[in-house]
Amino acid sequence: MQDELTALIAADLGIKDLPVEEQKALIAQFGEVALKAATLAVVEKLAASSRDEFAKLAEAGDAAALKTFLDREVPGHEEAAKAAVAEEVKRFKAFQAV
Amino acid sequence: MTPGESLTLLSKLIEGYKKTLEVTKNVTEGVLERFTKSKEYLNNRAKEIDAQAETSGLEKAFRVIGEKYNKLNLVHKLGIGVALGVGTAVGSAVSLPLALAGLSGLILQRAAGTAGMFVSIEKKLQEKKVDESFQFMATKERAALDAMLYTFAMSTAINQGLEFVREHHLVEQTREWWLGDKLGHSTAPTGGSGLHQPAAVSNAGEAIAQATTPEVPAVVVHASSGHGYEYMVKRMWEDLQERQLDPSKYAEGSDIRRLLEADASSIDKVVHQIAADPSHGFFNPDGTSAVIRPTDALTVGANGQVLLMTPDDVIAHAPVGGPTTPAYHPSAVEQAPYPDGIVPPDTSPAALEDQEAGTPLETPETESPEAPPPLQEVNVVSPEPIKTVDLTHEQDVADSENAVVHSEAVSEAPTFMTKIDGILIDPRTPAIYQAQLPTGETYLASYGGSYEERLKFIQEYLMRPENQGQTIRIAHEVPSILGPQIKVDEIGASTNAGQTSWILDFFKKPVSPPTPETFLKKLSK
Repeated sequence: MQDELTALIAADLGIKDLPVEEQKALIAQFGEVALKAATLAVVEKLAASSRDEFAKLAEAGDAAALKTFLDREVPGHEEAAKAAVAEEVKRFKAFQAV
Repeated sequence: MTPGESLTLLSKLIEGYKKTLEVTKNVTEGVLERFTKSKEYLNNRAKEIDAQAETSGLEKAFRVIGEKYNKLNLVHKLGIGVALGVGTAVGSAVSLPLALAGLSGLILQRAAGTAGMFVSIEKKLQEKKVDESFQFMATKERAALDAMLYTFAMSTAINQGLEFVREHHLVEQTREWWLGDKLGHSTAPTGGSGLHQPAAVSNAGEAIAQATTPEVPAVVVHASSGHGYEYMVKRMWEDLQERQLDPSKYAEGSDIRRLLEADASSIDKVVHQIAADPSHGFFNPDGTSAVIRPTDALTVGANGQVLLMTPDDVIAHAPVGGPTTPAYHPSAVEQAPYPDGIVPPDTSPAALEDQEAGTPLETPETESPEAPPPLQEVNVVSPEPIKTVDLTHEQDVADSENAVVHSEAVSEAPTFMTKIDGILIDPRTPAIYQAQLPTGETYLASYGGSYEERLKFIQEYLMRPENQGQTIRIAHEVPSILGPQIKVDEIGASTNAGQTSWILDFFKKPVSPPTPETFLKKLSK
């Protein structure tokens, strides 16, 4: 499973021609960028007064509570996150193509 | 051919090798440069996002995200990537709440522990469906479907757990939904979680929340060179020990409970029992062991059973009729006499595999014995320890100074004799041996001395009329991005009308370097 996922993500990022260990290292690093970019994209749509609550829920790691909160406070947060991640994938692939 | 001509040919051969190494080095440097630049790019991009986050007043939260993320293992990081839709074939599985919650590691543990079983289910389903209505599915479509199913498996396992997936036949539903959607017969319902998936999945969280099954830890132990099943199970035990789990929460008699209850004094026995357990069959009554391939990994299934993940399947029991290592007979080892006051070494496979010295390398094509044959591991009491050379490092310990420096390693290194003619294998002196793969196939191997010495020895050996037409494998070190690697090539020679042609053959797939424990006979005098 791990290898399949690595292969899938490596193909998505345009790094499947690199050695597997290097792929894994870059995928791991890219994950942080994707996570932060998605979080930022959603937080930017969040009212300033609600950001502390978001931070607390995010730190608590309660997916259901976070989802309920975002469903209420940021309609379309899934699309925003998806677009942010897609943008990071696009940027990274563009960098690879240089 | 005169000695002078032979030397000229040898020089050409070595020159060819140097050019090959140079090409390899250039390619390696290119990969390294791209990798380094990519890492720099991602570092810089992360910093840019952090800087943007400062303006949102959430710099502390972002720092925490980064710190937590960096502490996760690769499996969890992959899970977060999938939750964010990276690498998904369908591109619909995006859930920021799920990804953020995944930072705790807890949610993803079930995914990693059970995803392997999902693969197994999927494989069986594939086999079943090929015979039924899905045989018209094109290869490309199947690949896309499989890719989607893998990501679906991960995200679903994260959310709901595999038991629910299995009980509700969600794999079949997903496949049918996907195929129907592709053919325009139906539209996929959207679950409450925001993932495009069969409707039943959206309610799965409630079902799982009510479940009382203990969390299965996300333990994944990858195969490593020269190590077998018992070694991997022991590494799994080490991982489990660090988690400080309560054994009583797991089913009595389950593998995970047996491992959790084991301590340092009993673990070797426990891993051997698990390997020999009829439900696993990795250690057979006849002393042979199932071969573990470098692409394999071990994990713990939802029911606490140790599972072997191969590129094709997830199995609890060793493949019936699969390749095995030579027989291991503990009793033969125990018969070796030890002086009074000397405690015999632990020669169980797990303990033997812990000894790094003398551990053979292996490749996907061949598997080194999980446990060496008994005679090779008997600690013969010798008045003068026989010095050995680590072929992979080309270290010559013939001289006394080095022998002192490496005295500890030398004293622990096993000595080997050929299996058939019982000749002591001298790692300091080049020679040609007949070696045997676990499959039973034999080949000629050069071993001993330095690389240059072996090359010269091969040349002289192949020039003899009685050796015409033979090929000999030779191992040597090459640089790579991961550090020095051992490469194996094959050298042959043929003579026509007094002209000798040298053949340097490269294997399409890497093969294992010749190791003394596989040598049957010494062929050179």
